[in-house]
Amino acid sequence: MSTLTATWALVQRDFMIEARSKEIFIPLGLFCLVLLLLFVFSLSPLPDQSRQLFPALYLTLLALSGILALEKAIERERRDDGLYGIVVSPVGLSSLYLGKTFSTLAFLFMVGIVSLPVFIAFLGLSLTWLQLLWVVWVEMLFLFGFSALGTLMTLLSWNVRARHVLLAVLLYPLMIPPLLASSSLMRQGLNGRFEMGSGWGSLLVGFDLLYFGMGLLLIEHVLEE
Amino acid sequence: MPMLDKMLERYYASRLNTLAVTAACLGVLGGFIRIFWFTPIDSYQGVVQKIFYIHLPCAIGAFTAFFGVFVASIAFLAVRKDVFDDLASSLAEVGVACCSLVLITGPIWAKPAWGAYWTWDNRLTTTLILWVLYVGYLLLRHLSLESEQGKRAAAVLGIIAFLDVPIVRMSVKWWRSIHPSVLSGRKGAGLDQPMAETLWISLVTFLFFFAVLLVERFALARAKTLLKKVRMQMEVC
Repeated sequence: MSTLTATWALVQRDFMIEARSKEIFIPLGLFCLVLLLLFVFSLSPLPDQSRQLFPALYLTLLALSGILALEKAIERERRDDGLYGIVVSPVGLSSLYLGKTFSTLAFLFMVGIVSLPVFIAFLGLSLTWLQLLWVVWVEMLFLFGFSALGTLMTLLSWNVRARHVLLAVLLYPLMIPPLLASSSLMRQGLNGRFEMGSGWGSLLVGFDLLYFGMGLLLIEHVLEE
Repeated sequence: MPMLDKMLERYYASRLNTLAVTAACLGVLGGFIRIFWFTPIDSYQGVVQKIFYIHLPCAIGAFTAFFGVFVASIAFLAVRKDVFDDLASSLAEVGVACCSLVLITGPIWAKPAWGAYWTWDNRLTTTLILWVLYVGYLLLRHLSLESEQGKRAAAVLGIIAFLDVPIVRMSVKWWRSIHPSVLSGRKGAGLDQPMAETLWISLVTFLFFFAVLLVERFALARAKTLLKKVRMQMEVC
């Protein structure tokens, strides 16, 4: 079985389980909405401030929801001994990593897409189609890095006590540079500048590739037994 | 690595450790005396500038220790010898201690210099992130109960966490920062002769102190690992 076929099979498997259990997508969307309400009520931003606030708020809430998706996905494997099954199957560890990364990315991306209109409505923003596409593009790049690193970190803290807290403590500090770059890129897009070649664009793509490469390189050591 | 363990055994048997610890403590004390009594007061910042002679060696100590964790983690994953894991954990502890000192001395200096203990400046923020990451690293080691999987997880984290160090180093250049770039290649960090001499003295004394601390911590970690092995052998018997 080639790596690509195995990865695709694992992504399909995760989608099938999610379609049956509905454990990730709906709770995550609701969680994102509740967080948005809390932030909007507590900050009560003025229309001018909303435009400045939107990128950081949107990405932070996706990152907060993302950790729940990562935990839920791994909890499901733990409950059914699924991870053990995959590790002992002919599917390679790199396929497992790729499958988990891409299914997490897909779930989070869908949550982001569904919640985007709610964010726009609640914050009273008016965006052009180009700005909207830019936001979605930057969001995807941010979530790619998040899923790549998040999957590695979740598997890393798999057998550790207090892993829920530890995952957040380890993952969020490492996600600060990509978060900073993505929110700056989004803010530039909202102000009519669509430049991926800027310093922020390079930083974001650089971190995405770095985290993804690290994950592929180190997964063998994380899941050896 | 039996050779290294034998070297440590000889180091302790010959009481060299007592000599090293005494020398390190006296060195730091001497450094303090030099800083506070024999170094001119900065005409612009006043007496508070003297904290710089402690702040900088601690920062260099922290970055060196974290680089050591990175190298030892790669070595552990490559050859799976406990000695590298013990070295990585000892370096991380010394690094966190140094980084904590940086985060304590920095705000003390910042209050009179910038008018606030803390600003969300890039250098300060990335240093705080670095500290949180390595405290997380120590927490991971503690919570994984020193299992083989925990050691591997710590090594992987030791490699990933080091990614933040170049960001901290380069943050002053990449983003506008109010933090001065001290290691900018200017001779003596742009200080007058007596001040530059004091900086070098404090660098040597503090780094020697951290090195002695590292040897003590490493010897303790080795003793703990060897004891664990003996216990396991006894259980088998």
